[in-house]
Amino acid sequence: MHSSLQRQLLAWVLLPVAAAVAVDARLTYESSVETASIVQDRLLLGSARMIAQQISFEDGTFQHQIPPAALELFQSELPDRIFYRVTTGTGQLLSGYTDLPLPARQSPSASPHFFGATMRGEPVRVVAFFQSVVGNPSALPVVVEIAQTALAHDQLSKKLWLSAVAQQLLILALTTIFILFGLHQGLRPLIRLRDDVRARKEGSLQPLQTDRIPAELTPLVDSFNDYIQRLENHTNLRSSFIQNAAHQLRTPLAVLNTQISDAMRAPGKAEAEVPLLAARRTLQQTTRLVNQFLTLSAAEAYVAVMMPTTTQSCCDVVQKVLEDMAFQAHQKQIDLGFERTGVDTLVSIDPAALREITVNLIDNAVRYTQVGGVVTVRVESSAEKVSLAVEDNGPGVAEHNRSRLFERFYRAGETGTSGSGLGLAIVKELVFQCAGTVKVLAPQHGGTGLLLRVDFFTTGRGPANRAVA
Amino acid sequence: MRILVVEDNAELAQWLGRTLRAEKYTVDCIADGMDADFALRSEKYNLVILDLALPRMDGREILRRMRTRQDATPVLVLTANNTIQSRVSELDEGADDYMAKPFEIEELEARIRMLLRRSSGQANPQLACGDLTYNTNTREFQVARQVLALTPRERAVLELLMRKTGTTVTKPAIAQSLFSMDEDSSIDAIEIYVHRLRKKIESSSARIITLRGLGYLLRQEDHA
Repeated sequence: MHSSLQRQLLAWVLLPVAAAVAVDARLTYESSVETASIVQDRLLLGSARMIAQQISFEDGTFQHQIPPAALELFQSELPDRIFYRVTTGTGQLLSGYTDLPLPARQSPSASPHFFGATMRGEPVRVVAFFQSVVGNPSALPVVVEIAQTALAHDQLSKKLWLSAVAQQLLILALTTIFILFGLHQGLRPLIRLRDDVRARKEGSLQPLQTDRIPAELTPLVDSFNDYIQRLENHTNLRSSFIQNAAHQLRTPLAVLNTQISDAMRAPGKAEAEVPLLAARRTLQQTTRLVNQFLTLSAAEAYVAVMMPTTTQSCCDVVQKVLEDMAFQAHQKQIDLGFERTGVDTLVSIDPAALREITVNLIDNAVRYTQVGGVVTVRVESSAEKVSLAVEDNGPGVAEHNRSRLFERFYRAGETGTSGSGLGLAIVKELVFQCAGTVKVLAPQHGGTGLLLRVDFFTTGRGPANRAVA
Repeated sequence: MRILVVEDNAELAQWLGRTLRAEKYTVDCIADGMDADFALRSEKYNLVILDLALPRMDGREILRRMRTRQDATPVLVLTANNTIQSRVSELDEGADDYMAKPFEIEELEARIRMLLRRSSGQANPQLACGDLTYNTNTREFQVARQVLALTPRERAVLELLMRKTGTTVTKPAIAQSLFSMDEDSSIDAIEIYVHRLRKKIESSSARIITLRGLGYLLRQEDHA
């Protein structure tokens, strides 16, 4: 399978978009963490402020109280832990945990001061809030510290990030759908062209349709059609040359025939009879060759007129041919027979082509089978096809040479036969025109000989659809 | 019997004329389409042998003019164009018979005889296959003018074959024709009659050929 343009385009558009989404997801992660930190810091600061407001200096000591609301601020379903400490400017612990880390800088100008630390093995975010207390003898402010473990923070940032990523994925999915749709629309002329080319019958010389072809494809289609045109001209030229040559030969052959007949009727020339008979035989072979040339060149250019035909009509055509060829077989004492099997069916066929095919198959069998041989013509029909089989008990053809039987001028018999070597080539051409198949097989009941079988298919089946297969 | 040969190949015309004159026909040869058309208007012929490819006027045109002026003279068309498509068309265009070049002169003569017989009003009750003839009035078979001695059943079989010369006659069809005269006529008996008939017409140029699975047909021997 060649790489599909559609897939390539899709990859080239979607991969950068996906990369952009990945980069954006990374950036969003950072901003989510930042947002979560801001929220956490606000809470910490709020809590610290509430505690700080409760500190007073009375009677020479610091009065303080931790209002429950200051800790309830952090309440959530998560088992986050809150640590606090209140110390005087001189470092005297007023309340809280002694082991809470101290801020790096003790300057009130830095208030509030946020920093990360580790508390009892857990990462915490800490705020240090410096509160000047009225009446405090020391110039140094009281330090209120609140620390919170990272669970709520992490959950929030994760939530923010995930929802952002989900949105982006949704956009990516929508983009993919739109791109697919767009590609399908955009590539439609190309796909139509492909289907047109695929639907062509093998060997067809029909030009491609040029309407609704996009500008990019016009030169391609035009040059394709140009080649078809030239090929057709060439074929016509060759075909008409063969036809003309054959026609030109026919009249002198007719003259020759008349002259020989005349000579044979002349009385008292008994000794001339043998060469005259021989001349007549040669003439007949030449005539046949010329006829076969014409038939073959006509078959090449032939356009079959397919029509639904019953098995009975096929049999009638075949029987008529058998009657015409009966004498030829009789002369070689060949037992020529006809058999019919199977159910009646309707096949698509050109009766004129069927006639010509049958003539050539029987002629071939009779010609190459020895005196006293047996040739049987069979019409076998089934629901999907009608087969014409011609079987003989002649010398047959070695298996490795069987495919060559349809070559022009190939003669399996080599010596002593008068065939034109074109009969089966004609059969092949016509069978092809009728969208049938022709096969060389070994005889049904063993023995020597050859079995040629032509299959014609009922409408809509068989290799008529080979272009799509 | 007067025959007009319209053929532009001088040699073929000459030899055809010679052969046909030897058969006691009066023959005129014309090589040109216009001349032939003129001759056909002014003279009366019993038969025309017409080539299709002619100078000045096409053979088809001559034929068309003949038929439009109600000239029913039998026309046998000769043509070098013998392709799958063309075979049918000439007969459609008013020709009585059609032969492709090159042809067997004997075949041509036989067809001329048949066309002349047909145009003379089919008064002739004679059927022929080669030199085997059958007079439908006297119900006599002759080979080379010698009366053939046949039993009634043999005659019935041969008559049927003769009437359908060239086409297959099935055994049941033969049995049917015998049924009226012989209650016992079986399929096997037919083979015996055919066998006897073959011997009796051996000296003629007619042959009874068996097509296995189809039946029998009577045919004239070719010169092939």
